[in-house]
Amino acid sequence: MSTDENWRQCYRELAPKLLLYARQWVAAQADAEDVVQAAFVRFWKKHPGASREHHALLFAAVRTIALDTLRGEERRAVRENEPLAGVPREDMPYFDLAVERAELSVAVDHALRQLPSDQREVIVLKLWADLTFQQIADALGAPLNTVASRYRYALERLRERMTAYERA
Amino acid sequence: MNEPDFEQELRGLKPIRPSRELESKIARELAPVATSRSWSTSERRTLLERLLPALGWSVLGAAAAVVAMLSMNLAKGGLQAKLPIGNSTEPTAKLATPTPTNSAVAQTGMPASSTVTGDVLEANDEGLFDGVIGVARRVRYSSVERRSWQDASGAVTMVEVPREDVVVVPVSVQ
Repeated sequence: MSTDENWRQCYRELAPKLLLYARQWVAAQADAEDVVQAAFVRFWKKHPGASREHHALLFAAVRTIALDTLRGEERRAVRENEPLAGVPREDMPYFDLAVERAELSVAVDHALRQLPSDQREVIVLKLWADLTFQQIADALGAPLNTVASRYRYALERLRERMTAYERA
Repeated sequence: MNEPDFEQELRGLKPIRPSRELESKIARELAPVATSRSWSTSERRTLLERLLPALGWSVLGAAAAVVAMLSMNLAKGGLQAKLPIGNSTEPTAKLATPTPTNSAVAQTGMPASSTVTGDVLEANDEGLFDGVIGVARRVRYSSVERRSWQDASGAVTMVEVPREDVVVVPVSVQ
């Protein structure tokens, strides 16, 4: 398989997951795509023959670039005396609104946005990026136990909020 | 619903796909990888682009220090030494004997002492990334650096400069 086919295969498998992860900090779809582009290009130039075990590094690269982008935005807002409203929110949903799962998608989307960011990123990496706890711990630079407990808390909160949302 | 079923249901959701343009943009950027010449050029440009913002702070600090020194010189008689152009003997004689005595220091306004202190405000572990030196952990320190100069008359000039340092430590991934 050529290098070109390699990266395209990796891209097709991971692009939606990387985009979802980037949007945990950079909510606007276009900005998040810029983050994914920068991370993917940087990663692939470094690891032209990357395989599945390198995927955690790719998510780590997305995180680094997304945080840099967010900090740049915050500095610019302070410099220009703009009000800081935290992470900008965009109405673009996180998940594909397929007909049979539309209600669940909306409920999960709503619940996910209300989670603390440290729990939200762990649950995104575990459930939708299919990383192991060890890979997540490596990517975040956090202890394995911390990552596992964040995941449990996040899952529990997600369930509570979804129940409340469905009742409402 | 028990936990595994709940997880399974969540995993069934598909994250939204990026736009089609993203793949073609990446293809354009990855295309020059085949030729080492264009690869190294783009890498150098990226490195320069990344270094420039960091250099900005230190240049700002140095510029502030130079301005402070110049203003002290002007205020303490730096101008007086240059003004009597018509009287050519006196300034020449002063310049010819540069004795670093206390009075000379007071006259020129040069600082008698200087100190540098700093406070680290925040240390942020940004986790692992894949950089030029391979896999590495990146820690970002935000700090404030304070420089002060005191001349012989006791006048003190202080400059406070915000700093951001990024420490990259290579790690081995197993």
